[in-house]
Amino acid sequence: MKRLAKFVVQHPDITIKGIKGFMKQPLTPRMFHILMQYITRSKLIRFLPWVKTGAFTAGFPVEIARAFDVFPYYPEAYGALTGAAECTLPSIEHAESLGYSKDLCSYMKTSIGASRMNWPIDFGGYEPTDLYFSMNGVCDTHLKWFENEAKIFSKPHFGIDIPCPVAGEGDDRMEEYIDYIEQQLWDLIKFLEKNTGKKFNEYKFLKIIDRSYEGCKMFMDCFEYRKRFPANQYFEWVRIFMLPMLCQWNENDWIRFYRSNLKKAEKRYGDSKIVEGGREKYRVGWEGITIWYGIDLYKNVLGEKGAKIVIESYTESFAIRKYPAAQTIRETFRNIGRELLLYPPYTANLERRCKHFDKIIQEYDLDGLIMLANQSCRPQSTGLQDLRDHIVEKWGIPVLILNSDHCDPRAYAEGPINTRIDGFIEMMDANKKRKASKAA
Amino acid sequence: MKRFAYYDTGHEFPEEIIMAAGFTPYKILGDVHEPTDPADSYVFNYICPFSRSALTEGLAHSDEWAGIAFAQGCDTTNNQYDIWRKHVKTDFLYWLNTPSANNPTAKKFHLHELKRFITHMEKKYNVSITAEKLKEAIQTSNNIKSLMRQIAALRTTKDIPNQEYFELTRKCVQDPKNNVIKDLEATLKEWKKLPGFPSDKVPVLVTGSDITYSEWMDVLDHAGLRLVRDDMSLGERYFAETIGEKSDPIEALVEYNSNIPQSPNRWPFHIRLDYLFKCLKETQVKGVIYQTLKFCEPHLLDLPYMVAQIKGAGYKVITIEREYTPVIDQQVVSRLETFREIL
Repeated sequence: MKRLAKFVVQHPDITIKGIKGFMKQPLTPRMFHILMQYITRSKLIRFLPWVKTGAFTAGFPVEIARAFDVFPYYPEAYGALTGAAECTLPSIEHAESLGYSKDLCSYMKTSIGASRMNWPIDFGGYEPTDLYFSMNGVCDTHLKWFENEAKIFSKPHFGIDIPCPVAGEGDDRMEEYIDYIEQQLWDLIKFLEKNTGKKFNEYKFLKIIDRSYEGCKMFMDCFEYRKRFPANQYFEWVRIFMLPMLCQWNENDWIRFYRSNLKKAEKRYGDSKIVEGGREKYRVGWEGITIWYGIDLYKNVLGEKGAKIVIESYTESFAIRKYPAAQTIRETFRNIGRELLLYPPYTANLERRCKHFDKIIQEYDLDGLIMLANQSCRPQSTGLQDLRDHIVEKWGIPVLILNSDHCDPRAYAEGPINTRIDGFIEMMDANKKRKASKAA
Repeated sequence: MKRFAYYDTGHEFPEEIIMAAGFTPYKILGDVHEPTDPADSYVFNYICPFSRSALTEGLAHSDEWAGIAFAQGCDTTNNQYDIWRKHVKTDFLYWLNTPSANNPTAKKFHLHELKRFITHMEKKYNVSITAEKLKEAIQTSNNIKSLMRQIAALRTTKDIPNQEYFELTRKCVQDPKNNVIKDLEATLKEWKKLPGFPSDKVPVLVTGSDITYSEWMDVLDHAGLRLVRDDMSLGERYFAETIGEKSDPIEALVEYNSNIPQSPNRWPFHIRLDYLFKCLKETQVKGVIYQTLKFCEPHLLDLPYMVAQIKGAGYKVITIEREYTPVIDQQVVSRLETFREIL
């Protein structure tokens, strides 16, 4: 709280910019309330010295730590919100002044820069936590970022090593990898017992997993309504909608929130495929992280031309719990391993990535696909050319590769991007006309 | 003996298994003199230029190799495996999931991975990789490592140009091992006779991204700096430790992998730093050069913390981000010359 007050006094310009940035987001009052509740709670928790806090990277099986009452912080999510508020640049530049290269992840630099400048969570900063947890399943950056933070603040760190499930490997191979992940999760229990002084509460853990599964399932159930014409929600909304699920701060609230959204969708659509205004002019898929500061791109540049993002692999990847709690802890751990290796489309190998897009292009009836060649997320950018070739060859829809960055506005060249989008829209239009004339 | 190529961003790949299978291990190092246009069709130009050079080499030369194996390394290696699988023609492409963690659980997994790799090699090439053959390969490797340690130790006392040392480290990972041993033995004799450490050169330790082309070693020489210690995979990481010869050979390879100076994509982090400080204690260097190849994320991620630690211990450090080019960059030379003046 103090940090925020100090920040507002010291940086009125950034505060106003941030408020304006948030106002541009398609936030419903309830969503705004939930976000603020999380942020406030994570600030207040620091006044409870008996509560252990932990910093987590996205995808880490946080439920295990939560069973030990570790309160989760997600610096990556704070970076994302700061991106949405269009306030990342000062913190990125500050991180660069500390020696972090221009080429490194802009989530990380937003967090490090803001934290070192003592900025509040609302603007990307966070105070050191008691414990640090990261894994390399998504990228090396996740692992190294938190390992380095833990070193800097002399705090314990636990890393999970996720084997890389490359293309061409079968189910037997995955089971071998799952053996390795399972064993590491048992090691994590030992780490948590040592560092929290508590015993592993199996019942509590299984209950948390069940709730987590329930929330992820509802999130994905909402996706079903994005297949309808018009889609229930678009990317610019879903990217904020996913944050409660990612951060897991108070599951009762976000599960209630997801349930109410699901009910609304059921009421609106029922069994009907086409309602109200009908199909969007162009239904577009998005591959890669969202451009957080680029709300205008989604709402205006694309939206005003009738192109709406109806599906994206990024948000879907955070709905990671695909299994409820199993009969035993061991089997639940193995399911977590399975989920980490096989489900998130964002980290899939090229083979699975192609299959994933084959599926969603049909299910969501896409007219085109935009891929973000993300300058500070190289793992995600690798393989895009092959993926594009596969899609163009198999489905004949236009694919636009956009060069930019998810949180660093310096990498966003508005003029060239708009020109390329114009070309992309024209290609989708020509493609639709060609299809229509063929059908006739 | 036919070459078997491997792609390894650190020193995680077990060459000894290839040797025991009857092949010459050949580390893919790309060629800085060749344009990477063929690889650029599949990989964006803001992704590690070394990896694009390696892919270019793979696209052009894979038919000269009996097979190719990847050891899990950085994000770039891992993600590009699929691109190799799609575009590089080879009868055998294998993914070896070397663990990034260094702890008992990871060692158990590593043991399993090595055994699996051996089984696949045996099946593919109809060979038997016995414990005896592995032990023999380990002895050969240890022989090379021992010779390299003796040679590398001469860098502090003799006039050994950086480029010549680099050339030996390259040979170790690319040439037939018996030839390497002969070369190293001859070089050791020859270098012992070289004049003493030149008074106009300043001894430094080089860390950071692997330097895969000799021209960059020339950059150091141009600036009057002499590389007397390093912690690179194409360097000391390759020969700093010996592989156990008494125990089960596969277990010995696992143990060896756990003991070598670590590349930045592995953890816990302190093992890497400990080795660096060990080098700095053992050898009187005037400064440390932390150079990173453009877009080399693992090293760039470590850089702020590492540099702070090294500086905190009282050493002088310069950080250089270099392009992947054989052209000697005079701006870099000027910065290094200034650094030398400071030293």
